[in-house]
Amino acid sequence: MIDILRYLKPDEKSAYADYVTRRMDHMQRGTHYWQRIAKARDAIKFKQFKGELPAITHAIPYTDPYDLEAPVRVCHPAAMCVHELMVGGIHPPADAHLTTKLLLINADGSGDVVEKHAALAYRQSHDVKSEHVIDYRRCHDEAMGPLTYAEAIEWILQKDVPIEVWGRQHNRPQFAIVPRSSIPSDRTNRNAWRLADLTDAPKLEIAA
Amino acid sequence: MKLKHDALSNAADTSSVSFETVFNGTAKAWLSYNQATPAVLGSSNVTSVTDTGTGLFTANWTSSFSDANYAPTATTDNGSHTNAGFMFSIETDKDNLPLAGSTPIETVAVSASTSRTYNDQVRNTLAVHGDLA
Repeated sequence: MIDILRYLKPDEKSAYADYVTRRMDHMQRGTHYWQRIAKARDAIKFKQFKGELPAITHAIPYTDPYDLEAPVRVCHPAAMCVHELMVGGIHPPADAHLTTKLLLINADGSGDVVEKHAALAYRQSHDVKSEHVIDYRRCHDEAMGPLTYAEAIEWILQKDVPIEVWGRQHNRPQFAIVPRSSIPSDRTNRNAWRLADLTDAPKLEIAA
Repeated sequence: MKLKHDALSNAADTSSVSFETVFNGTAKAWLSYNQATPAVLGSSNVTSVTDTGTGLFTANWTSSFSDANYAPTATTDNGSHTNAGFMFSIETDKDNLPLAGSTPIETVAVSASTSRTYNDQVRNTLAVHGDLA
């Protein structure tokens, strides 16, 4: 068992203690993030059964930000998650996930606290051996209202695609939200796919 | 309606299980995923699945685990009865460590005459037990 406290500064220790206490309080009240997801499931499945929620028709191909020669990655949103977002009252804003605080412990025994959006960059320059969530309060405390389908896909983009891909200026596009029909069904040359091959189709417009 | 008890008991009250045991012993996420299409067939506590290459994908968990020391259990199915001599395997990706919020997975085909090769499978299932953040 890792002694997390020995890696934390005084202000981080008090925030960690508050997070642990609040997490337990949410669990006892049934408002923990995971419990919100579990509780909503049956109602969402009933809406799916009645055809009140749309099919998931888009995917998000993107380039690996630290290996431009790597095969294009394709993020496929889970229908249940998109529908949870469209029903509302379950998920926090995407930036609550991005600002989750992680303790990253390196092979040399050193450790640093970084926000999740910066963890991938940190891993490029450190030999990280383990990570521990030390502040997840916003995900437990905040729940958004319903999103549109396009907003839900954008929320998933922001949570699951590295910020280096969508949060920075690039000379050429690093991602697109495309119809699933534009993703090749023949996977014979899957590892030769490049972003440009998958982005000819019309893009999903994200509301401002 | 809200039941306020600390444990579930049988009718004779001779055995019981605490709610904490039920909560902590429940799978926190599950996924059924077809990498050949690809498509998420069913899921709970999964935001998305990222197809990263032939035989490689990453499950992205919605409500994060507290660290990467959780326990995924997985099965894989090639969907074909004509692949005699091959064994198909599903494993955590040896080149990418699991994270608190996501798990990289690889699926491979192995036979007596060929080395391990990454292979897309039509049905990959995961159930994950562990502590949530």
